[in-house]
Amino acid sequence: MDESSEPLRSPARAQWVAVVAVFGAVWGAFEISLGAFLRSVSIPMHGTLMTGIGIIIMLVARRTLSAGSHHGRGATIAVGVVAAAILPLSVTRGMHQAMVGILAEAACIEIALWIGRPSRWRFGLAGLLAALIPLVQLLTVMTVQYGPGALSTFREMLLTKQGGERLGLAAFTAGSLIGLIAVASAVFGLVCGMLGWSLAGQILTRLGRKAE
Amino acid sequence: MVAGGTDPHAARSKGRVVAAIVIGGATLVAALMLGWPLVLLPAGTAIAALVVLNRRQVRALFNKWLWLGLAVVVVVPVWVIGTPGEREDAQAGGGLLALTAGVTMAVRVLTTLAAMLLIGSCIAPAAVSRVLGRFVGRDLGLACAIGVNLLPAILEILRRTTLALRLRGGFRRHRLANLKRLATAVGVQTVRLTEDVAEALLLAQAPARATGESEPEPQGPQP
Repeated sequence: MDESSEPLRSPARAQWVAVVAVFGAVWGAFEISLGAFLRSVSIPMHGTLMTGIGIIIMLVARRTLSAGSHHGRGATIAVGVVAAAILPLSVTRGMHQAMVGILAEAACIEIALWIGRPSRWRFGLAGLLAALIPLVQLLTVMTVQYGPGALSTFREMLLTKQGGERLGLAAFTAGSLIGLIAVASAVFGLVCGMLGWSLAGQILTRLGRKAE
Repeated sequence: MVAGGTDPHAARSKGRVVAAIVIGGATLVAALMLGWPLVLLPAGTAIAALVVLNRRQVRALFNKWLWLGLAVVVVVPVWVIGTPGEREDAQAGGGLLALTAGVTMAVRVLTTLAAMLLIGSCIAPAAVSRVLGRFVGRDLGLACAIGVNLLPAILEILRRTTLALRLRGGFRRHRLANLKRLATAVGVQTVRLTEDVAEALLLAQAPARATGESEPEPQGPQP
C-alpha cells in the first residue's frame, strides 16, 4: 500500500497536518486581507512588510511543532504552500508575484532551519534570509524586463514612485540604494525572526507546554 | 567506455542531466543579464541544446498560445514603457525603442522556457515526486483543503480577539504592549484550533484505522 494513501495513523502526523493547515490559513488570511489592500494602494516596501508577518507565522508554527513530538521539518514550506493556495481567493494585481514570493520565503526559512536544533539566533537568521526575498524578487523581475538597464530603472522608480527623493536618497547610486534596502530588510527580518521565537515561547507558556 | 562495471547507459544519462542543468542554468543567467542583440546568443544556445538533448520537447515551443503570449509581450511595451513623452516619441518614430524592449523580453521568456524544458526533461518526475513526497508532499493536499475551509474560523478569531481588546481599553494607551497581547491571544487560540483540528482528523480516520491492516504508530503526543 502506498504510504500517501494511508489514513493518518499517528497523532503526530495529524498534528503536523493541523498545524500546517491552520497556520497556512492564518498567513493566507493576512495575505488576502491586509496584503491585498497594501498591494492595491502600492504602499512602498509592502512585500517586506507582509514577509515580516509571514516569517513570524511560519516560525511560530515551526516552534509549536518542535515542542511536540514532531521535529517540524518541512512544516514551514508546507505552511507557505497552504498560504499560496489560499491567495487566489483574492483577485488583486501582483497576486502571482506574491505567490512566488511566499513559496520562496518559505523555502528560504526551511533551508535555514533544516540542520540543527532551533534557537533564537537560528530563527533570527532564517528571518533575515527570508526578508531579503522581496528585494531579490523585485530585482529579478526588473532584470527580466529591462536587462542591463534594470539598476538605473530601479533607482528611478525608488526615487520618484516610492518617495525616495523626499527621504533625501537622491544622492545615492543604484548600488548603494540596493545595499541600504538590503540592510534594512535584513535587520527587519532578523527582528521578525526573533519576535517569532519569543511569541512562540509565550504561546507555549500560556498553554502550559514546555518550550524548547 | 566506463570501467569498473558501471552501467554505460546510466553514466551517459547522468552526463546528459549534468549537461542539461549546466547549459540550462548558464543560458538562463546570460539571458537575464544581456541586452539586445546579445540576448539572442543564450536563446539560440538553449534551443540548440534542447534539440540535441531532447528533441521531443522542442514541440512545446511551437504552441500557438505561447506565440500569442510572446506577441503580446512584444506589442504591449510600446504603450507602457517609458514616460508619457518618451512613449509618444517612440510611437511617432515607429516605436523602435519600445519594440526592441518587447522583443528582448519575448526572447528572454523563450530562453527561460527552453532552459526549463531542457532541465525538466532530463530530470525524472518520479525522483522529484519522491523527494517532495518524503519531505513535504505527504498530506499537503489535505492541509490545503483544511486551510481554505478554516478561513472563516481564523477571521472570527481575529475579530473576537480585537473586540475583546477594544472592550478592555483598546489601543489608546500602551499600544506596543497591547499589540503584543493581541498577537499572543491570537496565537494561543490558533494553537488551540490546531489541537481541535488534529483531534477531529484522528476521529475522522478512526474507522479507516480500525479496518486497516497497519498498527497505529506508538509515537506522538496524547491529545
